[in-house]
Amino acid sequence: MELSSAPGSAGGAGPCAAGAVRSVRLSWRQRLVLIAVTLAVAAFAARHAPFALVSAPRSARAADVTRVSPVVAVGTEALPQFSESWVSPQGHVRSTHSSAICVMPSGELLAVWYGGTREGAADVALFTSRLAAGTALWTAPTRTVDRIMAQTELERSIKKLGNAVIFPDQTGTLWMVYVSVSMGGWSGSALNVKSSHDEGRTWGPSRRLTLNPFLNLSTLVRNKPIYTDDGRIGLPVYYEMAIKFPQILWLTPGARGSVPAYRLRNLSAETDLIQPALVPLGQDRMLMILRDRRPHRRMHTIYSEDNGWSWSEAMASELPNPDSALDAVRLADGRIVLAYNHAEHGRDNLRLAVSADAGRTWCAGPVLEATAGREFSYPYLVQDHAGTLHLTYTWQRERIKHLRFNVAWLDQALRAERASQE
Amino acid sequence: MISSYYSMGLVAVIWLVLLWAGTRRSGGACRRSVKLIFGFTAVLLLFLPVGGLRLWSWTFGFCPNPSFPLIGVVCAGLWQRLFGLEVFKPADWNATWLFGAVAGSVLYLHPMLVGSLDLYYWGWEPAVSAGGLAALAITFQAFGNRFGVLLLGALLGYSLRALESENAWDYSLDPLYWIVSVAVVVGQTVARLRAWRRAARSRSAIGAPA
Repeated sequence: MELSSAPGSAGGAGPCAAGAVRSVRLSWRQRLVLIAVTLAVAAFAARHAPFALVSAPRSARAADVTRVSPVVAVGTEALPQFSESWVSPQGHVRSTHSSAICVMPSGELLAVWYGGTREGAADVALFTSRLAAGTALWTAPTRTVDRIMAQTELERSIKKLGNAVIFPDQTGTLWMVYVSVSMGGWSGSALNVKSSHDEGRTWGPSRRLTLNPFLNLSTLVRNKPIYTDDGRIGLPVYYEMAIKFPQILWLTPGARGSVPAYRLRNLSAETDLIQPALVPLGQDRMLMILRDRRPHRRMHTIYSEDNGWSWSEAMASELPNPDSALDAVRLADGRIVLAYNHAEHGRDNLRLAVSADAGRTWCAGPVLEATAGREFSYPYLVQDHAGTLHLTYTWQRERIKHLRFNVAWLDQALRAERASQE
Repeated sequence: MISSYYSMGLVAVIWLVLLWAGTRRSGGACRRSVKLIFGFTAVLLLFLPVGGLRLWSWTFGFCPNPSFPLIGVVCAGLWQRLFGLEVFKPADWNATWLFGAVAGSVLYLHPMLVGSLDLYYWGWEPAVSAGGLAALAITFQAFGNRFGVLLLGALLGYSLRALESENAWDYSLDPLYWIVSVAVVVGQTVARLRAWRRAARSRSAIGAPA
């Protein structure tokens, strides 16, 4: 359309006389009217702010696990309990990866993961499956979002789908935040949000979140959020294009699946640290554990003293990290349980570690998986209303596995590990 | 999927050809009604479904938040070509390109230079962003520059949340507008430098002894 030619080249107003120059400008009356209108619109726009997401939250915590009374049989609290099951059935798709799990207000567990021919393929869809409280069998996977559904709901081209997380808000509405890519690789990702009012049985339409100025590219999600008393949710996300760094998406859920206010905060100037996992420590303190993409491959930690609003510089921990996702939860006794790959390269083992000093030092825990050349990755760890820990992870890229254990089993495994080291 | 992209490309080419044909002759050679038919056809083509999505949705998918200055520039340019009416004067165009180049460079490039600074964040804070946009708009309007009207449009759009974005800066800037602005400003600067050199050479030639 040659927009730049005629209009852009018209900079030379040289031949115009003083009167002519005056005539091409707006008249004084026009200027005054425009200024008055601008002031009125600015006052309206400034008043439009629906929520104050401008300061640190007063408190933050992990998912509310106290809504339902613990359903633990008397006398069984101290007995070690451990069981394993499969979230995804064998052969339901060729490749599965990146599971997330949440405990719903009813006590049921809901898991989400992506699967298809291979990671990044056009046929990859997001599947969900549920586990009723007190049962051991996951329901058959439900295809919740696929590329065509996302394309229709978002009214734009979608090339592939990626990581998803699910979490309930304080009203019981279930939220799903998932990655979609319209162009390029994972660095071309954008985040979308869906909600469900029946604990994930049916879902509302997807909505795109605009989080970056440059074509809204390159925000991804992996780990579970934190909750604050003023109703906002802090979801750890990360940026991947050219420079990679962690961020927190603060959002305020609204009625009927709307997100009336949200904003993204960068955490620190540290780069090449992604997939943050948040652990509220109590008394306004928060721990963030990060995947390391740098050559020395150490798990990194960052601390916040104001519920996740501002953060310290990152510190390398004693634990290795093979550029792989990890997750952690804080137990009622204050200890932190971490699920991770204990290696600098490769994801062929999956292990637990426990910290009693807010993530500064770690005690090696039980090895959950170890087979050379295989992949056990992307752990996702939650604690249910009864205090039982649930861990889901990618099992050899073929299935999603679920481990269920209690604190007594963890303590027993830690003692055994200590004894074997001595 | 590939066939979808090919058909999208074909429709896009037809659309651009129609636009070009409708605006090519700005004089009296092409009747206004013919131009209008070309224009309407071009608009209608945007709603043609290609690969399950309208052509507009394909475009929207890659540039989801077209800024108000970009929309204004396109409208002003088309209006000028279609009807021969000069909506923007030279000073208005200069202000438009200069704002796009400077503000865009600051917004898109500052994280690479000052990692701890995040100017985009303040676009979510209505008191700061609406105040900033209004101050800019009023400055341009006070000087009688029509670019202030485009910034007022951006402010109005933001207050009505007319785009997908909740961030005020997306209403006043977008990557396409920034890239075009940088290209125009660089082109103008190079042209001015060449003209200045030519003038300097001709002056020295006149002043040189025979």
